[in-house]
Amino acid sequence: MNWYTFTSKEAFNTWHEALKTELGYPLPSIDKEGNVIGEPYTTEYTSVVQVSENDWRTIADPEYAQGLELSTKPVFPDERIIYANSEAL
Amino acid sequence: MLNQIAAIHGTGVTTPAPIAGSALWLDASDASTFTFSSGTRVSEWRDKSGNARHMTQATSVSQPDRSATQNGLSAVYFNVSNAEYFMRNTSYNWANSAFTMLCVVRPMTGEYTSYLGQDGAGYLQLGQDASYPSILSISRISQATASSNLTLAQNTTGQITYKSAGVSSGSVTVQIYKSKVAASGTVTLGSLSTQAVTMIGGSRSDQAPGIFDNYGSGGYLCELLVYPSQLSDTDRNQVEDYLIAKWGV
Repeated sequence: MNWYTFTSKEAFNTWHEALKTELGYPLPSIDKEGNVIGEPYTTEYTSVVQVSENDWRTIADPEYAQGLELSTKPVFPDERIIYANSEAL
Repeated sequence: MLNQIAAIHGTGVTTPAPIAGSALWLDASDASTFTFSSGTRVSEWRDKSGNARHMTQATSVSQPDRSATQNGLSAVYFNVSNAEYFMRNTSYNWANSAFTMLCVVRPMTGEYTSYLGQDGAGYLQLGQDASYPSILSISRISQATASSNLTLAQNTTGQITYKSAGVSSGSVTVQIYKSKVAASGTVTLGSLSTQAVTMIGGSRSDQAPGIFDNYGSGGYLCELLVYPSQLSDTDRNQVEDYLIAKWGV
């Protein structure tokens, strides 16, 4: 799996919808023997995250990402603070 | 009173089933509780408590993989190194009243590992902090972590229990146990929100696809039970004994 970048959500949607059609989404729900059971739960292949105004990133198998611009996993700041036993309330 | 029955697992070993009355029960060894999208990728993990609090994941790249093995039983693998796997239930608020959460896990990668959480910054998460061997802790997601004196090393399977009166007026105090041994003191956090969303394998879905502010659970989840009360020591030990024996902890 690799990360890829799009300049807009619309561009991602266009690629993603075409890929889902090609792959036959929604995927059927199957049991461990491969028998189809119930309604399809798997409706999306991947999803997208906005990093900046013109930077929308997604993760995909390289075989489905021909022509896309390779990118990196987004990094978001985290404000987490570790307390020894408890936070001062 | 306890409602104890026998359960036979894949290894042929007979162990007592956990006590009745769970609010959520996810058992990775029970193939009948899984639906897949392909192979071993899990699209639904059904709740065995009878409360239908099933965990689902509709996006292929975020679906966990029932490909792991622990003590001869199938376990569910959550990846965190690139794509991150997680599952959610959007109708169950386990944090706003008393709870006892008991699980068997094997952390492998990731930081601020979540065994059971709600979804998003400011909500409660039961898991570990960012270090290895990781300290068993609770977190207000993305904001603060309160740590016990107990640790669970990377690539080590452990039975962990979190017991609490629940979030009240934004605060929570939790007693943590590892293989029946209590932490030296409780851990406490304030300024918490609660919601009817339950997550396993991660802590935030708002930064999809499963980025969780770059933190999440990498490793195996073998079994997880939540009881909607603070179990007595006798009842807690009974469930812990069941989990420890079954998963070879």
